Amino acid sequence: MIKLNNIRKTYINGSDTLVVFENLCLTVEDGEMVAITGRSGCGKTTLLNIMGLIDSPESGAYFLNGNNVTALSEKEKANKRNKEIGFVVQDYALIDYYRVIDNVALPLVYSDVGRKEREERALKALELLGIEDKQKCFPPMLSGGQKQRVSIARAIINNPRILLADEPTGALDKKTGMAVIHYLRKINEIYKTTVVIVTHNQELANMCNRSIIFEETLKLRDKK
Amino acid sequence: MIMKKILKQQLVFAVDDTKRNVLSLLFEFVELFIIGILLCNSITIICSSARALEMAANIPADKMLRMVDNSSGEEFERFINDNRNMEKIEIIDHLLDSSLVERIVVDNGMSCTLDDGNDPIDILRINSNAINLYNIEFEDAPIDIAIFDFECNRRRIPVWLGASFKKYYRIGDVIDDDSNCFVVKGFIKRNAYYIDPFQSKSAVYLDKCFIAPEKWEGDELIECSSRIFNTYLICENKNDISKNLGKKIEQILGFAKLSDVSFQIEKCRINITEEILTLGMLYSVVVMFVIIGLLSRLYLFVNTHKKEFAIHVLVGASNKDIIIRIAEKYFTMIVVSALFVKFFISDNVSWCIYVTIEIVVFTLIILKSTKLFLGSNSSAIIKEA
Ligand SMILES: Nc1ncnc2c1ncn2[C@@H]1O[C@H](COP(=O)(O)OP(=O)(O)O)[C@@H](O)[C@H]1O
Ligand SMILES: [Mg+2]
Repeated sequence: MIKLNNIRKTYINGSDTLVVFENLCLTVEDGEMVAITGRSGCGKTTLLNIMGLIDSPESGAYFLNGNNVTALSEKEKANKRNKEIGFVVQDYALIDYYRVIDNVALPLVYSDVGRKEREERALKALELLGIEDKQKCFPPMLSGGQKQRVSIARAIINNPRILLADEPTGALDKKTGMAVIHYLRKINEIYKTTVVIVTHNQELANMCNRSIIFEETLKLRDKK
Repeated sequence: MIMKKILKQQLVFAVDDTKRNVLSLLFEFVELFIIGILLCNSITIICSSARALEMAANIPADKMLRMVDNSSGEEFERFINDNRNMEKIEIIDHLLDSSLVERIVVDNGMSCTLDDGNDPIDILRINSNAINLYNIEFEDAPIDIAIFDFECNRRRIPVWLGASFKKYYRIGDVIDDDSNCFVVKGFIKRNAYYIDPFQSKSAVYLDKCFIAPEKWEGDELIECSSRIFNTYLICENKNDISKNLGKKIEQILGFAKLSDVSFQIEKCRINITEEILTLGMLYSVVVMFVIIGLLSRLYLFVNTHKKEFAIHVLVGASNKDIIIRIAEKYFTMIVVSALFVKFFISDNVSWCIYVTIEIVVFTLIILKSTKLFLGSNSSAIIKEA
């Protein structure tokens, strides 16, 4: 479960202060599949980064799976990113010179899982995404859709309760994009993983069971 | 315990990275190695030049006179080929030994050839006053330098070897030249030198020389003359001595003169100073290269690995993990290059300076990367990468 209370986030650029959002409240229940839409630059990525503990709000409280994580140390946040959150981004964030299977297994290194078990679990995740035949390849040899599936496999390998996807289909054509959303749905259904997707694409948003629109007023309009 | 685990985890990544980038790493090592050798050598040379300068400054130039041969070459040739002149030389030798003046002899007229094909080695015939003036020090046991003032047996000439011969000889070894026989009595400390403004523009190092007492039994006219014309005198009243003693010497030997050397010694000092300045500049440039080289390497390494690090952070690495990863790389680089340099450089002081510079830069690098990774969140790094 994600619970954001009165979150305020600003960027300070020299003398300018850009208030991205203020008094932002949002709750995502366990097992939900939520889409966040809104025009470019309205703060979707910022919001997702805060949820994913790679950025921190200026004020407000963030409860992740029932724990207040607002004031955690950098190390504790890293641990939560590792075990409770899976992240998927638009440009896949794969390391080109690691094999696919090593890319997928990377989070397990920081969970202290032995090499053999890492490879077994990575292979299983790749199987779930239907690209186990690419395990020995390097990312530059894959198509966009395959890369995104690798990055999803990596995001779920540690069985996180929350999966955050920032424009996961942004760089893909429509058909491949749909396939990716299909996999995200599948994960949501099989593992009851909470999925939050940021997207431009209204069609994709409609495939989720809840859709949130970011508006100019810095308020969220919730459509259940 | 936890630390050990992190170190090991990151080491695996670092090793994989090394395997992927063998060539560029090799290049880094070669660069660090060359810089290290250059740096160490220039530090060593600067240190000894500085000491030579100090000594040049301490030489009592204003009290020094030198025996000078004013002959035409032919005249001197005729002179030394006529054994009847031995008497004249003996008288002058005697006059120079008079108690009114302190006589310094560094006669480099001799050399010996050890093996065929090797360059001949200079044998400096010197007296105890020269050892005192140039503060020549010996390894191991203190020796009674009065031995340099006695005539030595030509079949057992005692010699002290320059530091670079330490690898090849031991005390007591007998070295046979075609005409003479030397017994190794000891070794001169590294970087010992003397200053002879008439022979060289700066300090002359003794590392590749032998030194021996000035007088050898059975010395012939040529050797005795050489000793005379390689004599300096130190005296309180330079003017009186050059008038009286100088006149006597000239009366005996028309072409021999006592001459003032303050000008030459001053020139020698200027030369040594220039040498130090030149080397100092070289040295600063090398130090700059060390620093710029290492820092730009960091910039390159962190930049080419930015995305990798950011992704590690994204999936659960903490900033500490990444900094450890960077530290491991630089630590290995520094240790390996320092060991390699040590293998070729025997001077500990300059090696320590090199290692210190490396460690300072290493610390800077770690601090800088700490700031880099603590300052920004990983999504920003991913975007940038
Ligand atoms: N690191 C940053 N520094 C300054 N301003 C930023 C930074 N990141 C984002 N912004 C600004 O914050 C606003 C929201 O950005 P973002 O969350 O990326 O929007 P979205 O993902 O909805 O397109 C934008 O106006 C953007 O220019
Ligand atoms: Mg965005």
